[in-house]
Amino acid sequence: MEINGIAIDDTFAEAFPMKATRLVVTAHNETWAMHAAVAATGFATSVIACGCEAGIERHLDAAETPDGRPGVALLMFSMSGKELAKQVERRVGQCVLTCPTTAVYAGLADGEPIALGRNLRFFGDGWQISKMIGGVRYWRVPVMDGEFVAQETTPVVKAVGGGNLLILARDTDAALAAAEAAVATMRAVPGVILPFPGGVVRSGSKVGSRYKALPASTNEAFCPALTGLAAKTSLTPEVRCVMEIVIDGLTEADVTTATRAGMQAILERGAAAGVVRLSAGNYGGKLGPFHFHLRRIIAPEAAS
Amino acid sequence: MSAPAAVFELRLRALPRFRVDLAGVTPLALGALGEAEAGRVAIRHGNEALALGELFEIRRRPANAPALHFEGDLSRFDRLAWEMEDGEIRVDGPVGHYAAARLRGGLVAVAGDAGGFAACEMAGGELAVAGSVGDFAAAALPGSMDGMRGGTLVVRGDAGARFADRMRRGTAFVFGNAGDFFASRLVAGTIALGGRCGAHPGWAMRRGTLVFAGETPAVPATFVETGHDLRVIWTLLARDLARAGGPFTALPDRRVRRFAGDIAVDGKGEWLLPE
Amino acid sequence: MSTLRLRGGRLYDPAHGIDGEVCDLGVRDGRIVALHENEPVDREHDVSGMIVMAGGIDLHSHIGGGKVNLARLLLPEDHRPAPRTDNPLELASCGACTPGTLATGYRYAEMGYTAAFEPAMALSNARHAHMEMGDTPILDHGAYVMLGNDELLLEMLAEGGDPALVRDYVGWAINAARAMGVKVVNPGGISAFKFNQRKLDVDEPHVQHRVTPRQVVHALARALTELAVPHPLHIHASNLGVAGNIASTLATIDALEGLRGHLTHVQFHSYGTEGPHKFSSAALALVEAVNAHPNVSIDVGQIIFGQTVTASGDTMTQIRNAALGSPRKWVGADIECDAGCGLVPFRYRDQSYVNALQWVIGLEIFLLANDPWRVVLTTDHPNGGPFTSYPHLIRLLMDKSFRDEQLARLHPEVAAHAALREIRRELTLYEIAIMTRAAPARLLGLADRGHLGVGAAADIAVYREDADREYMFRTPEYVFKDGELVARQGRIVATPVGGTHFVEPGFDGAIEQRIARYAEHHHALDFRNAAIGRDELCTCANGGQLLVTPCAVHGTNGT
Repeated sequence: MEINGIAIDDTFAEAFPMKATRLVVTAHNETWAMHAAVAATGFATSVIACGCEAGIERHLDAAETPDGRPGVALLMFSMSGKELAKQVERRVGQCVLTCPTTAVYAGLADGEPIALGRNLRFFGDGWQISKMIGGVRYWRVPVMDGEFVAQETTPVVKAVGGGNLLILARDTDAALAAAEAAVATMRAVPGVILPFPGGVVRSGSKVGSRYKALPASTNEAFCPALTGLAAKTSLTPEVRCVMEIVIDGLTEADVTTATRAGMQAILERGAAAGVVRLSAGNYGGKLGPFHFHLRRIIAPEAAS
Repeated sequence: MSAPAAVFELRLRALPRFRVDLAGVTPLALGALGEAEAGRVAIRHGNEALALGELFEIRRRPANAPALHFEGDLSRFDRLAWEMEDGEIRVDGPVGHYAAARLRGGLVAVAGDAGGFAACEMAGGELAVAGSVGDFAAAALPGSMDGMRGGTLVVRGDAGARFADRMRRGTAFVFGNAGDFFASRLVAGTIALGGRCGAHPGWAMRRGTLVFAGETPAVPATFVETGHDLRVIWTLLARDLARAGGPFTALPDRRVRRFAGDIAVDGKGEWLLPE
Repeated sequence: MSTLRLRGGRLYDPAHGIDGEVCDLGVRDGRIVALHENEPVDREHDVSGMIVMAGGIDLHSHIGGGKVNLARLLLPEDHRPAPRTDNPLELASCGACTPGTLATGYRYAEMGYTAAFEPAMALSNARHAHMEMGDTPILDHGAYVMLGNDELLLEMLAEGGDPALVRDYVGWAINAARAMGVKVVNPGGISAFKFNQRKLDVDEPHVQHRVTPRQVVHALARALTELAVPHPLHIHASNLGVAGNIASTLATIDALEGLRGHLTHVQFHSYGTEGPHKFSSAALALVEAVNAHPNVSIDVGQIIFGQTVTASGDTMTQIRNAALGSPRKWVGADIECDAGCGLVPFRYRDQSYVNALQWVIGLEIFLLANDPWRVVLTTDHPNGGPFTSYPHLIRLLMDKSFRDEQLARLHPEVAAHAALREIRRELTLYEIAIMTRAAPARLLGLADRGHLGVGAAADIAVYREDADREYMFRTPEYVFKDGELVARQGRIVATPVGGTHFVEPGFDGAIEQRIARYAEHHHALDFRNAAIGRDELCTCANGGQLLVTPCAVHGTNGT
């Protein structure tokens, strides 16, 4: 399949079940809400070493938040609810509780609750106050600028992690420009985050390594430096730079929507912009239950 | 499959001579019964047992949810909805003492006044009284350690003395005025007052929140002002309380002062005084 | 004149050595008489196959006075769930562990008890105690006045304790309070508590008066002996409830120096310090001491699992227990520094190691003691459990397999190691009749109660034989009070007014000057109002009979 001169591989992105939650962080103004949100979602690119994958989902107007202040919606993904709870407690404790004027609320309505303010309240050293409002428990912890308000729990839902799109381009400029265009449209999709820096990752990996200690290593099949060397390559000689966009979403549909948005953004720019092919990473389909077939996503009726 | 639900309409035949104990007459208890069977349910009238049908004309009709609709002056009927778990009870007039006491779930709506101890030790559900309530509403039964511990109480009229004495959880509204010792010994929970209150509000309160939407009471020496920025929690709370309407509608738009106490008992409760 | 014959019953009358003999019982005008077999009677009940005993006598049950009333105030929730009776004879009254006066009378009578004695009447509150007991229907009643923590007595002892002075003071107090005897509660300890002592062992001096509990016990026991009061000193010993208090209990027996004494609710005073929890049964040590001291009698104070309220004059102990209360509330009170008062609601749990062991200790005492004439069945109502659990307790004592069943449900460490497992003894109906009727009557000096001999008051309980002794003792077929049928198959059929038992020992009236002087300086009440006159007692007692037990010139223990 080829659209606007760009080839679309007959392949699929293979994704995994994860546990996710959405937090709403508000503050006195947008700037401070962003400071908290950026810090809380920092160093959260991959569960391999960060404990969770997290990102900013979107900005919230004052009219959209529980306390009438500007805010930010964050999504956090982990491989288990337990690990997610640990990450939420650490990140909110260190990056939100500490950040001037912030408050934090659950951003999902239903799901298995994990602690949000429940344990952070102990920072109050006995001065904390519990308040039930409309059936929801909040904790009020006295701090130097007033009160830190945190909802007691946040619901955790089943989610999808590891959706991806590979952009195979003629050179670095073309690859980056295409990736940036895709990221800009994908970030507008609700329910997803692109956890890597700028939404893009250049170190696509495969499972395993020749070194025992490493669970993953570079995916040589997509490394232009190894096109002529590696036993198996997925690249043709005109591909000199590959970028990947990793997508975590609350639902399979969210990941599909984001993938489609990203593909469309690249395809609209046409082959003249330097993109040769679109592809996706998988493990043969045996490891992850979620398969995002690129051709079906971009043209559901055409693909068979 | 459970038996289809029913609405019972109970029209009072005549004012009974003595007080009547309605404990046990709940939508769920009557729901499984036919009209005639419901009429034979024994209730206590003074020191004797009496059939429900002797006091009420009873009509039953199928419905989606179990409910009882009482018509008439029930001011001599105590313990309406006592320990009720679920369902709905509506009364088109006044009721006696202990209305919705120890309520656990469901809705009780009273069009007239309710007597003493309304919603006392209530743990869930809602009691809405269009008129006024007597003393000790939302409080504890004598000797108990805790008063109301969940659910919602809405009083559109006035409340007597000792409103919410020892209350522990839940939300209570008084649209009108409250008597002496309003929210005394409050353990926790939220109470919003639309009018004014009598002497010693919040006496010996330990935790919990009193919102004085009406007349600002004199603040006793055992409550101290906390000057901090509490706009976040106030917005959360005021928006929720505003849904009750009436004197509470404009709460989110009002700035608020906060006092903490009762420090005479090492209390950490709060008074919120909108300006 | 009215006559009654109970025909063909099996009589258990230990006072006359009658152990299950089948014979008729005649009653004329409220007294047991010998009726000729063919003599016509007004009423005759065929009780063949049934068991006939004298009415039960509870010599230690908190049924009247300020403390009991405070308990009712403290636990209104105890009165909420009570089922309402459909018996028009019963006036509204309810409560399980703190029953109202009326319910107390009804519940006692319907299980065959016809007398109960309030053990802790404060001297300054004696009127109230008599009024409450007077309000208790059917039952005869009496009370022991609390001495031994009153400042005046401690002052006298501090001055050297002239026995004549103490004797006259005790004699005056008994007369003034219209008491049946004297109880000492935590001798000197309640007073010491007011001087900030939090424990007082038998030989430890009171910080103010420098008097020891040993001196208090001995002085009171001696005074009662000299006054020839039939009921021996009623002793709530030192260190109630404390692990290791068996030492205090034995020291208290020692303090009597052979004088008569009645150790009450000994279960609470028979604790050792062995085992992993440093809390163990000292029932054997207690029983050996009781067996070896014929001057000592006991009642047990068995605990029964469930909710109750502990009501005690022992403020020192109750302050300590307040933290263990359930629900967590309590009351303490004092009048005129007479004694003390503490009420702590308590729930005995079979899964609690301590409670389970207490249960075991009580039963071990019952079953190891070899002279039932000196052992009285009590739960120290309501401290160990309400008196309504007596039928259950009787079954535990009479039915080894039932007892083992209950034992198996206890805290596993107790269930596995209790010496009680090895005790095979099952009390007989004869022994139960001793512990619940004959012995208490004898210990109180009641010549015409607690037995079925000619001349005795016709307080009679008739039980239908049933293998389930609990059911049998809960629901007697007939209960007669002074010959009047008051309960039939567990239902009250008449509610006569009970009488008041008291004693009137002689004393030298000169003592009144000193008491008056003390009262003038220290009391709020006027001394002239201290003593309750006979007419006033009659009013207090609701017009019931005044039953004076004579004080013999030479008091003996009667065994």
